[in-house]
Amino acid sequence: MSEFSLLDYAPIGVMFLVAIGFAASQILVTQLIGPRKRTATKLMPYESGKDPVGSARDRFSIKFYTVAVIFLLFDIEVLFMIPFAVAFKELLAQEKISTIAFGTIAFVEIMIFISTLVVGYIYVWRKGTFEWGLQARAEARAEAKEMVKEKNRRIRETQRVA
Amino acid sequence: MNTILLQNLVNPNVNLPIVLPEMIVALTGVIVMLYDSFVPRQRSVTGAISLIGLAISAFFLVSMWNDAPQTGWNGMIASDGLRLSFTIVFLLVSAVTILISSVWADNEDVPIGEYHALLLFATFGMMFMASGNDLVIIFLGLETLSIATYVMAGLRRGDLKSNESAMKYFILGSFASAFLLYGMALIYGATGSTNITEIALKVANPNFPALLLVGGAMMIVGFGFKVATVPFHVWTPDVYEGAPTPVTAFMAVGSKSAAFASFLRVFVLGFPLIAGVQASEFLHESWVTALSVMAILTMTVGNIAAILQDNVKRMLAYSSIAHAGYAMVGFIGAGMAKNMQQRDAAIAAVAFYMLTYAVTNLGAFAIVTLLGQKNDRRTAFEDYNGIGFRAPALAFTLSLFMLSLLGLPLTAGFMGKVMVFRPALEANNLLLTVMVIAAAVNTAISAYYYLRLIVVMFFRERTTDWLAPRIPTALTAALLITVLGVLYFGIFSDGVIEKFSKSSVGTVFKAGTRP
Amino acid sequence: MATTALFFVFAGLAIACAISMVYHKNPLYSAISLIGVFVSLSVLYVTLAAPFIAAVQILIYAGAIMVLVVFVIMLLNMEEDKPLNRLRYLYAIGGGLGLILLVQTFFVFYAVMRAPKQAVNTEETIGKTMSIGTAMYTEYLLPVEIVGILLLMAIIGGVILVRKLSQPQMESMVERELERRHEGEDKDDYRIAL
Repeated sequence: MSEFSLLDYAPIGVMFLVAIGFAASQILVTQLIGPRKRTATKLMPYESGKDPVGSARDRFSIKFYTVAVIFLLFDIEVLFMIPFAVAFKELLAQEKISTIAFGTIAFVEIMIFISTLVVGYIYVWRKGTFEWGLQARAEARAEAKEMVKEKNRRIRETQRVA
Repeated sequence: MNTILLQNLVNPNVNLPIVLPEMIVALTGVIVMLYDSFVPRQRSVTGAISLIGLAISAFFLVSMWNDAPQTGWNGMIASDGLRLSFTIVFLLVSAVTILISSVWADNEDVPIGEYHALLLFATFGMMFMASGNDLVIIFLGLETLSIATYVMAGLRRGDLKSNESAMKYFILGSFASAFLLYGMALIYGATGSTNITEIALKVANPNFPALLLVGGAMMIVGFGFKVATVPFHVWTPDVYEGAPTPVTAFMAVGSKSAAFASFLRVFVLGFPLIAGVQASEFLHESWVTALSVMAILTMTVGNIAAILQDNVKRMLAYSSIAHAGYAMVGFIGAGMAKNMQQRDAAIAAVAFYMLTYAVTNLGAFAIVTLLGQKNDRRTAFEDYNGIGFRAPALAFTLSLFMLSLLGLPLTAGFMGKVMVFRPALEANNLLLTVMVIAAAVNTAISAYYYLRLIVVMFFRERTTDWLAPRIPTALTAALLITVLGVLYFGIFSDGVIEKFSKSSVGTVFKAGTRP
Repeated sequence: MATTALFFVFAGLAIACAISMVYHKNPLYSAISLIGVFVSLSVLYVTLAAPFIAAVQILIYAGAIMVLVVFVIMLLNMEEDKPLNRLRYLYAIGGGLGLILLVQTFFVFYAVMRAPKQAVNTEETIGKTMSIGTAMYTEYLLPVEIVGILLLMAIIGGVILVRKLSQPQMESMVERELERRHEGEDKDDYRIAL
């Protein structure tokens, strides 16, 4: 059995160092050698060429949050598959030399696990969580209807008064 | 590489029949979910599917009844008296909750299919809390139950009180789960195992005795929160009041009995008294003393606070705290039992107590749901003024449930109380006797607020108009089950107790009396 | 040696980030400090020979959960916080309870240190992904399935609590939209009564 050695993970550490070093050096170098001309336009937040409108601290739709929550849950489900992927070959090899069907059981297990995941996906999909267009349009339509109703009511009132 | 791992691999020990009831409930939940996704505008089909699933699960559970106690999945699942008796309570609770909630779901705009699916998954979690013989399974079951109830408490999204209820329950509940998990980790550290049978063997000679004590204390916090014992009860009234009434019924009865099942298994079967071994004796004495003090506090605080309430749901919430205290009397009796027979009888008594409490409380909440109308607006005591003679059937049934909660002879509540007090008295211990006396005094105190509701219904004048609500079929069925249960368990309790008294899986029992 | 050095560097970093998280008034800075805590902890896990837990720490905590935290900060969009003077008296109780927890933690350490040394297998590879995988798919089959159901339920919970519209509204809306899509015209009456 292979032992654990911290040196095996040194490349990840090196990658981290390179990433941090690259980011830091970029910021540092631009600060040091870049020419600086401060104009009002340059100091403005960059919004793809348009003038920024309103505050950045604005409320946004809860739909984004739904997607984030669902992402988190599926992320955790994937996490359960990583150990399976690592151990599956080993379990299959063990199945060949022992009387217990390690590999088959693990495979059936992961299939059941994935099918519960698929049920969750079907549910989310059928409930229209990803149907942003439909939902948004329907909402807009409902709002328009309300506005029309309100306007009609006011018109009728003025007519009655008249 | 290939051959070396073999000695470390554990035989998966797949034992499907032993978890068949749980699997059926989970499968029903999945079917309900899928049905609801594809046929969205149904209001009652998923309820029917759920009831059928629960019935099939109960059928398989009952068919396991005469098997000898056994374990499966490498000792993770235990099928013994504790599991069978508590699981049947859970299935009953779940089914009656579905019947009650059909009323509420018809009047209000709730996602009914999803509600049924959540309820089934919560039941699935509860069942594993009773059958889990491993801390891992117990924790997962508890989390499944908790997350489902957090969501169900907040189902009425337009209602601020419901939001408050879900929020409070979620934050405090996760905190309690964290305590429980920390406790489990420490117990694992102390004993080197998460299996309760192995923990019980290792208690005599733990690796780190101190960790065992700290871990036990942490687990008392976690379980104490779930069963709502003082001082971990503060969340109960707010959460019970804000949640939709059928969900409150489910929480008050289902969550509580599930937590009691795990609590019993971990403490009574996991931390037994092994005479002559210092570590075990000290641990046992610590938890018994701590829980006895908690039980006395729980009964007293619950009952006194219940007197002060103006809202029926809040009153029932405090009453449920008090009832947790009564059930703990039996629990401690099981912990102090002198031999296996006594211990199993005491465990059966707690299960029977939860059964009687379940039928009584579910019935009471069914009527509160019906009278509460939309959004549970009518739950104050004043709203019950003078309805006694305008809706006699409802008022008399509610009175019966109140009398059973009080513990009047010939009702289920009386037999439940007798059963849980008996093992505590048999232990011949001063603290336990004091506890039983406290319980008796508390029962007398509780008469005030249970009878108050009856007085309000029959002897107060009503100033506003009131029309007796029509009782829907599903609710009639629920009331019929609960009324019959209250009377049956009150009069013919012996048969049920006998069925519940089966031996438990815990093998270690070399106890004698404590010196 | 290298392990000890790494431990001190990253334990220090974790504590510093944790203090910075509590100290900052701006929730977004706190969130970023929290990422620092998670990353330092994950390095500590690697030094403890638990690479899988380290990867989970980065993937789930520093990745997915932080996304949620930032989302909540943006959703709530708290204005400049006024310091709350309410419930001041609770600080003392909180401090006291925190102290008790700290004492208890040290007690645990003390008890473990004082206990007779257990034989420790230094070549234990239990934290490696392979060992976790073989354990999960042999011994712990049932817990994995329960987790599957737990996650399935969490999906329902997430969807119904977050959904903007109530169930029937949503259904009828989506249905009408689909009908419109098929027929290609808008039948609703938008005329203003004149």
